[in-house]
Amino acid sequence: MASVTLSEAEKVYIVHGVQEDLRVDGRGCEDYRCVEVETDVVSNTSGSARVKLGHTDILVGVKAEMGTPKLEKPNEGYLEFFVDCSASATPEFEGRGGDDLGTEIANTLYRIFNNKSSVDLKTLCISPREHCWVLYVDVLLLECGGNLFDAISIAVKAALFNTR
Amino acid sequence: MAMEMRLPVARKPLSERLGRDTKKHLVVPGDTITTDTGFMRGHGTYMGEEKLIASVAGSVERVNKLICVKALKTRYIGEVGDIVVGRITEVQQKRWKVETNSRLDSVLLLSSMNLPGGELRRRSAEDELAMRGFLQEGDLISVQAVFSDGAVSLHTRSLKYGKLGQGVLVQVSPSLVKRQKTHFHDLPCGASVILGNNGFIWIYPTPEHKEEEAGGFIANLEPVSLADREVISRLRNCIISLVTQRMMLYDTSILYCYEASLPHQIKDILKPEIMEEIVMETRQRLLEQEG
Repeated sequence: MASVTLSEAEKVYIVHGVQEDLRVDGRGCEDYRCVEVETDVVSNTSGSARVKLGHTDILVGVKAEMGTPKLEKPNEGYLEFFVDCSASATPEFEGRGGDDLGTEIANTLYRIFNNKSSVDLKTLCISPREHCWVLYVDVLLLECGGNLFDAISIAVKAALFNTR
Repeated sequence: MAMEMRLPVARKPLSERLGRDTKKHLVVPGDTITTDTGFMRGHGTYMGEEKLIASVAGSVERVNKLICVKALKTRYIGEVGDIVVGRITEVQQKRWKVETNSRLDSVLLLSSMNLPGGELRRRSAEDELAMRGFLQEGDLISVQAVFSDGAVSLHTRSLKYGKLGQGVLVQVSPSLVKRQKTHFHDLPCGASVILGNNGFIWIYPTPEHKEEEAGGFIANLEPVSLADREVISRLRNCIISLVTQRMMLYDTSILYCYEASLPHQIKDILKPEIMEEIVMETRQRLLEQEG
């Protein structure tokens, strides 16, 4: 996501290549780069994961705490997402620059994990209307190299899988 | 749309795979090179407590009485007569500022630049105004470097150098580019490569007409054929795999690596296991060729 200035000829070359389904590094338009997944990296969390997708590096930590269920869903626990775009990820994230992107990604994550098939929220409930588990999911962008949504969703899934 | 996941593996130390007999004397900053005071200090060393101590991380080179340490990973340090590939960052009054992966931005004076058509005349005021028409921010050029006062001064005096057209740029560390007689190579596989001494490597389709060298100002914007594109992408991936395995880059090594990669698909070359396999094969072929 760091902006690179390219000459006109390079842009034309890249665009023509993509039109023929061949990116500059030989991949097709729908091929992924190499993905590296590692779980249980952060010791003081209930679950964590680190995902490297090309130059993109994401670290996710999950902490489970007790809380009260939401009023409209008394039988379920819930997830809280927080995305931190660190300033070292890319020069554009200096200061307050990364906050907008962080909130956008957090909202997307809420929508993704809001349905029954991804995480069964009923299992997070301890006693209805009184106690439930709240999973605080913290996402940290270490390095920004494109395709953030995919990498973050893989990392969150891996971290939740790793949560005990 | 299948995805492959892998677990991170510890990187194998380089010495296991090298198998070379000559061991280079590698030092890190603070290491003592020698306690013999008869040597002269070169770059990368300093004298402290009657010992010669290294100030950069690299290999020790000794020429008679001169000891210097050549850094392994450094920014480009210009030498007279080098060929570099640079990207224009700024257009200023009588010159362009060029980014060449060195400590300071390099300068390209208007008077050191070819005019379109190859004419020779004094640059007038209109030329200055038309500077932006020649080269804009983001343009890539190939130039010859003249080193002066820390900042590299560039010139493109012959028609071989100048603005580059369509192609792919690969950025590597300058210490991996081997010094050779010529840095413009036409590889038999169908693409040409410019190995800039500053670590910028430009891969482009071989132009059919030999009169129109890489220095023309009007960039050829016609679509490049798919076969040429595949050759260029494969070369790019080969160069990246050679770089990750810290091998020197020159036309023979790139060519061998290209031939070793032919059985694999282009996008597979990016996978770590296949990268190692290809570079191992390249290394063997190069050793056979030398020995």
